[in-house]
Amino acid sequence: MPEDKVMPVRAVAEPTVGKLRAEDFSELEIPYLNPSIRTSQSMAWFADRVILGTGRSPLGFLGRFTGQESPRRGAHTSTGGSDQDGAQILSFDPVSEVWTKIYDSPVLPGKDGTPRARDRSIRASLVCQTLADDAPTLYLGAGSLEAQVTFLRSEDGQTIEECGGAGFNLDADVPSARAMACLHGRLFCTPTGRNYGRGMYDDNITDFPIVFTATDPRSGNWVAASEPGFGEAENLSINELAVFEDHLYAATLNPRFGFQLWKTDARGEPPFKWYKIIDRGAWLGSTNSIPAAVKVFKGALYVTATVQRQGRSSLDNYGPFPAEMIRVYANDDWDLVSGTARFTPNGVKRPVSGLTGGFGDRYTHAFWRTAIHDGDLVVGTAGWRWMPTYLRNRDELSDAQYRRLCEDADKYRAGEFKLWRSPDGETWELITEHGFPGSSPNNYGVRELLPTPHGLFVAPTAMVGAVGGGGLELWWGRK
Amino acid sequence: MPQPLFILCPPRSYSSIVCAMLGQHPQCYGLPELNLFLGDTLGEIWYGTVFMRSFGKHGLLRTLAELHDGEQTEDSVIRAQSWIETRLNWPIAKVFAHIQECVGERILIDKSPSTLFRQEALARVMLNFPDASLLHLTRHPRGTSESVIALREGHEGLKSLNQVLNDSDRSDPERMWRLSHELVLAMTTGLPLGRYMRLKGEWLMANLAVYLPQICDWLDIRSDADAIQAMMHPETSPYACPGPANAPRGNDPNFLENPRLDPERLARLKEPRLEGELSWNPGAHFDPRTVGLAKRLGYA
Repeated sequence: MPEDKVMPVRAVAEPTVGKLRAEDFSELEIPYLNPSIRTSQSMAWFADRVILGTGRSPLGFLGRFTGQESPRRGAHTSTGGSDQDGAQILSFDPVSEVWTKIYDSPVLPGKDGTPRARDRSIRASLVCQTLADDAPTLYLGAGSLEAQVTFLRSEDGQTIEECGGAGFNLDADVPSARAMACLHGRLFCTPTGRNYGRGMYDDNITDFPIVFTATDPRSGNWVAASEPGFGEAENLSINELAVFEDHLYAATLNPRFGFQLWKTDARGEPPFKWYKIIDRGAWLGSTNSIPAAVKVFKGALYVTATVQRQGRSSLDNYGPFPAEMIRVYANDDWDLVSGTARFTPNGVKRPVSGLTGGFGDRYTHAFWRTAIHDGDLVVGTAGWRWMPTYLRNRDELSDAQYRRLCEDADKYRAGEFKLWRSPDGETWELITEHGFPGSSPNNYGVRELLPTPHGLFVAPTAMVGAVGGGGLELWWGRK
Repeated sequence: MPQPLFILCPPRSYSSIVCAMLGQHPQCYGLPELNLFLGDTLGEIWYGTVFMRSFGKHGLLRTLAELHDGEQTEDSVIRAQSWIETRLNWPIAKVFAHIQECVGERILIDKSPSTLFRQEALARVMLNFPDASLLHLTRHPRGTSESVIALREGHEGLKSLNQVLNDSDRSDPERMWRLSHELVLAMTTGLPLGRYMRLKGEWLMANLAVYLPQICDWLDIRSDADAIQAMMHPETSPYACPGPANAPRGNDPNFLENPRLDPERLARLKEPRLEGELSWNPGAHFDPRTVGLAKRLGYA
């Protein structure tokens, strides 16, 4: 191997002058939140306001828990909280700095007759002008704790109305929505999760891995825009949607073979004709099983992927496997941005950043969210070490190897997550390596990023709600 | 001199034919199994293991015979044996350097499966050749194991392989597969980008036109039609046939008997599945650790 064939590392250590730095972020005090809220799985910029969709901790009565579990390391954390605390939606005006609560989950009799919040989390949101809308409208998917996903809409960012078509009109256990996209006057959305029979490990998968579309979401006229799993039984969910160069792209969760990326022009009547442009986790395999984020940036679609860390694939027992990022062009060619150099049917791929997975950090589990801010692609990460699943059942490791993994896991700094930015997808620099000064030690990743004309909003996600010592934080970065 | 290429894999992973193919590239030289990394000196490897006192030594004997005398005959092998016995104190790196000097400015390609018999052997590769290219060649554990069993059944000399190796871990083909690949993954973590590449043997063999040029690109050697065409004829390697009676082996016996590519058979190559009973161990299934590792390597 000649020296000049070794890829240079292009990450730089110091943030560019004039760009956001960690100290430019301040935490916003959020009123109204119930004590079970721990995350935001969707934010939107609409009607000159930040729309903050929130989500609560899983409920104990469903047997759902998060936290660290490891026979060799101990610790098991219940999330706690009241069953009547449900998802909420707040709006924030960055000019007046005034918060308004615009939605609270209704409390309804649960399956067992006990009063219980209907909505668990606002998991998807998008501004879209469908054929039935007079103006751009905010659409949201409210995941349910016991029933089906409910779709919400707002024309003014202040009032919320419920749409028809709960559960995509399916008479089935379809509790949540995962991704949304808007193209040709259509709203596209994908289901996720199942409340009964499988439990939390399946929050990311669905019995209906279908892209649905509606031209009038208010009436709930959802119809299938794709066949289930694009005809492949191993596609267990359609996790991400994006519009790029007048086409709709869909990325699938495929624990067996690795994620896939599909594409359609969405012309004519649904279901549309799709074709596959990325297969087998961009040819890395099942350690690239779950797509985490997609974003169009400077002529390419950036797609991030990682291994699912919720037990289904069991591969999280063998990690850490760092997150990868690829970028896809309109002609279907693609680059590896950060990841393992490899041979593929599309040629040998070396990371254009010169960085292996996780931008060189094998303990970066996910490039969880991406956003475009101030001309840069910004990436928020989630780590492995707060939940070191890879320390379970490692009989194949020698004591020395296992000890090294433990030592690395012990370097975890509570509350850590990273923010990176790049002007071109090739040169990357850190905005922060260890969260924000003073952010909660319960935070383990960046679940939402929202670029606005007034700065960048960052929502880390916490292991537990405020009742368990965590809670949702929102950080506002501005110069 | 160019840096060598080491193909890392357990036995029955297509390494013989891959090494011979790559070795026919005009800028490369494919070696038979030298098994040089079982010790620190030539003397250690020559007299240190049962394996090398049997057929394990044939590859080095044939290599030296070919390079010193331009032919592999019983006489040239005897001379190679003498050459070795007067240099038993040579460090293995010096032996390798001598072979490199004989070959000239071509990339030496070694594929000795014994490099993965012990962690120390792979460590010697990394220590002596820190800038070498490492190609981690994989094959599905079911295909590998079935092939190992079939080879042992078909060749009298291999039925007692585990006794020869004195290694119960490796008498079980599944365990041998797992230990070998775990070792490669553990030892290559953190290497500079580009030094180590992994490739499924099934993909390579079923799509030679796709992957051979990429390997050339990676090694920074020609990938023109002439070079690729040369690689399509592994049978033209001087080691792609049985050697003389006093060193007949040096490679996989099936390859030595039939070294030509069979495009029709290769086009039918399919990856087996991880689920299901093990044909060589009725009632048993793959160990969960094997399944986990296979998934990490891209198998399903």
